[in-house]
Amino acid sequence: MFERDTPLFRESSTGRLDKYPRSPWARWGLRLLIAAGYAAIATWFHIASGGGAEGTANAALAARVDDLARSAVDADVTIIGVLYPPLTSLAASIIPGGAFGLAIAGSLIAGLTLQLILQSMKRKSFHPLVRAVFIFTLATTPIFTYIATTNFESVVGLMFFGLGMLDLVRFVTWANTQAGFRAGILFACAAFSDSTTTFSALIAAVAGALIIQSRSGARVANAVVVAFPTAALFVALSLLGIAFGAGPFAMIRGGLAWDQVRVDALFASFASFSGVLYFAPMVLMVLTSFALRFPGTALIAVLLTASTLLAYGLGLTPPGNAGTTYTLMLLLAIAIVPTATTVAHRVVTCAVALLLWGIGWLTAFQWSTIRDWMLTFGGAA
Amino acid sequence: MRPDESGTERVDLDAGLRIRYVQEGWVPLRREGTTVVVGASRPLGRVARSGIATVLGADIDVIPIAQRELVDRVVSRFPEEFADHAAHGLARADPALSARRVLSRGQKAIAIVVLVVVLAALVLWPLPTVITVIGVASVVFLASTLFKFSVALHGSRFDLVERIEDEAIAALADEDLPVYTVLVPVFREARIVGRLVENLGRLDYPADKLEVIILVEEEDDETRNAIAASEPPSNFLVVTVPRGAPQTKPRACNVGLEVARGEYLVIYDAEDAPEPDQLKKTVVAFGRADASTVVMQASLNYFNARENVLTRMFALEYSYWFDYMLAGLDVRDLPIPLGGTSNHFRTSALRELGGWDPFNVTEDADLGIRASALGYRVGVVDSTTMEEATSRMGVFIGQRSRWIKGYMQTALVHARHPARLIGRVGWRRFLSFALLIAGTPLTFLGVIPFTALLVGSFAIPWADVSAVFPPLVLWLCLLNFLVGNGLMVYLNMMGPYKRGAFWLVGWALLNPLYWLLHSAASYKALWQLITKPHYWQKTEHGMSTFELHDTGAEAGAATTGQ
Repeated sequence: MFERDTPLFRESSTGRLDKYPRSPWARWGLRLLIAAGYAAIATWFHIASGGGAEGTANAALAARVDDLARSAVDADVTIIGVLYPPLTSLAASIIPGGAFGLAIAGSLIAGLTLQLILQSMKRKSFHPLVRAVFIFTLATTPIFTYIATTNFESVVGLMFFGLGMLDLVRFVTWANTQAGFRAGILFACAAFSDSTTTFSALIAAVAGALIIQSRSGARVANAVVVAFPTAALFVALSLLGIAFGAGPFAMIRGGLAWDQVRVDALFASFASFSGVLYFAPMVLMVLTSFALRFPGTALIAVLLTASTLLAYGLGLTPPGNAGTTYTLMLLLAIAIVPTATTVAHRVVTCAVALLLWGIGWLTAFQWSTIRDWMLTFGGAA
Repeated sequence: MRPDESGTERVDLDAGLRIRYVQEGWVPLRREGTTVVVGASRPLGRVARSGIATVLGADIDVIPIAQRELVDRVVSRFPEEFADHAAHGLARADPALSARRVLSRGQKAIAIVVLVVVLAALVLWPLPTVITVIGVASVVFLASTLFKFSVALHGSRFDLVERIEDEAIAALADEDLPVYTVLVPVFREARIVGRLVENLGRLDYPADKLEVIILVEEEDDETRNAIAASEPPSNFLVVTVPRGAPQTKPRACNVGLEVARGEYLVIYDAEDAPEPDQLKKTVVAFGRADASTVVMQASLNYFNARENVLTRMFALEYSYWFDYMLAGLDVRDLPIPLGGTSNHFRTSALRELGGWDPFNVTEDADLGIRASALGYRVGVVDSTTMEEATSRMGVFIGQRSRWIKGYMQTALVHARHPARLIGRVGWRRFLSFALLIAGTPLTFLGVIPFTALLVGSFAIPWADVSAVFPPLVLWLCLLNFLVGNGLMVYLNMMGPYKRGAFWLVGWALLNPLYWLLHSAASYKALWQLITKPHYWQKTEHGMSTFELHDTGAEAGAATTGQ
């Protein structure tokens, strides 16, 4: 009658885990140090492009929130739809400096993300070499730098998604209840920060069912917990949309509509080398999953890629967006890869990270959006 | 003193010594010549004998007497004194701490001013006033639910932590254990007192250190007879609570507190089934806490969670409240409103606090807040008491209305001198008190109007009325309401995790409907606060048809879901 849950694995017997670095000064110092690197690149881009960030997602966001501020005086409820995704739109509306200000804010977010990922790997007792390789891969690939400095929506969404995935694993595999409920909120934040990650909570719910389980009989409950906040928010917005006569999807930037032209163009690109590179991280993840004998992860990688394609097809992906799928895959790898127990396992893990790094660089040179951005630094813009 | 036929004189008991008699376990019985015969319920040492002789002004001769007989003798001799102290002791010591007066003079003045201002504003600027009221209500709703969620989320980090290790309990020696008093107030519960003896009989505590005091109202002969029929062990005392008003559980408990001998004291309801090692766990927990910790709250949960939808919702609610919310309040060192039963006290501190307020219908919540307000700490002990969840709608509404009315009373009592309270506990704890104790009834009062507004907004052509009523404002208010509801659903989903009752998680989706019941109860509570503030709506127990034994191997599954 008085039984308690007795999970197979527990993260901590005291409920507390050390932060990394331990000192708050060192933590914030590390975050700011990393952020300073990206901020320097953002500043360089700002100067090299002559202050013109046209064509970047930040420029589009800055223009959108500017329009929003002008029309807010006599707004009706349809203005909420224009706000979507609301978290980053509202944040952007109070960040000064237009696209450049958003780039600096994105740099700070990138610094925070990398420090928290490093902390997570330290807590999971990853070998220092593995930690170094993964952080190096994520921090130095031009795709992540491009996102951090040109796409505020995306870097915020990716941070929430990445941290959500880390918490998901702590929840499901290490029976950390707090992490699970926080993960649900983080995925909702991701969906309401970046329209490309709108479906991340659903993928996470499936992912939670596919990774190692610490609590027996909790698979469905875990999925519900992870998906609920996102689903509840969408239902609430839909209900209010209907109640106020604007329609169920009015709060999601004018509604969801399948854009066949966009999809056709996308499918056409798959036949090219760029298309191959688009799918390369997913294929690598699938192969690694089978090599490390975690086949469930393969399905997560496939679903994650499919979700970004779906968001693109539904017109949710903003202009100037590139590299989100690649970064999602990298974050997935960091979150899900288990602590290596053998040298062979460690070698595979590091090799995957380095391969992803290579794919990142190849992709950057292959995709015109990122290539043009990189060329700007040399004054070619 | 009057001599009787055998030449002995009966000794009149001294009203001023009544508490000493029962707590020290002696009572003068008769005078034989120059010697007073004293009945003692425990061995008296030389110092104690000498002290008693001094008090009585005569040599004494000690004979054994059962504590139950001793208590009965003293209580029946001084019923008015016991009844008076139990009902008015706290109010006499500090009228501001008692809910005897619903509103202080200052509160009445503020209430009148606020009412007049709102009514005047309604007449002068009806629409802006309505919008302001709706806006404020929606902010309170969201703030209160957000606070609960964030505190519970903080507590969820520790749900699997074993706070008191089995080894620490095993290391306790019986002879070193302190005397523990268990108070069980019962009223018209003849059909479940048999279960009481069985459940409390399972407690793993040496009988000679365990004093179980069953408090029965004077008029309740049926329950008294049922207890006698169940042949309770010798350490079970039945104390008759003298007639008096208000006839409430805390008044009965105050009588129990006066006669209790334990170093520690706990309250259980008649149908409670505490975890057998709960008392020992609490002894260890008190031993590890500093002296400022005066009370430990154990978790409550329900054995009949599977009985029907209502009991499922009840189980979800209790699970998040006791397993997560209180843990979060404890870790953050915020005021903890004690809940129902299984509150373990340092008896001396409880007496210093003035005992329970018999005029407050959630005397436990009030006591927890009072302890915090006076600088004491309320902790939690990781042990569970199983109870019977109300399975009938009518009983549920009645019980809830009492609980919500009690929260209203507690909020009003501790808000009599807000500046003094802030000075004592600080802003952080004051805000916690405001959001939890005052915020809870306000939140419930808001549910029905906001639901009506939400449903009604489907029928209102907003485009046509936008000139007079800005839809965006209402949209934001309704979003607050929906987000607040979503947070509460999510919070309820957290509840089952500690006990592995994962089958309950999906039922949390029904929380918005469950809250409509709360809302109905809150209006009943508000009405009662105005019309009969001290009325104790009795909750009928023993109505559950659910039997753990019937499910055999599923006994654990009823709560664990495994």
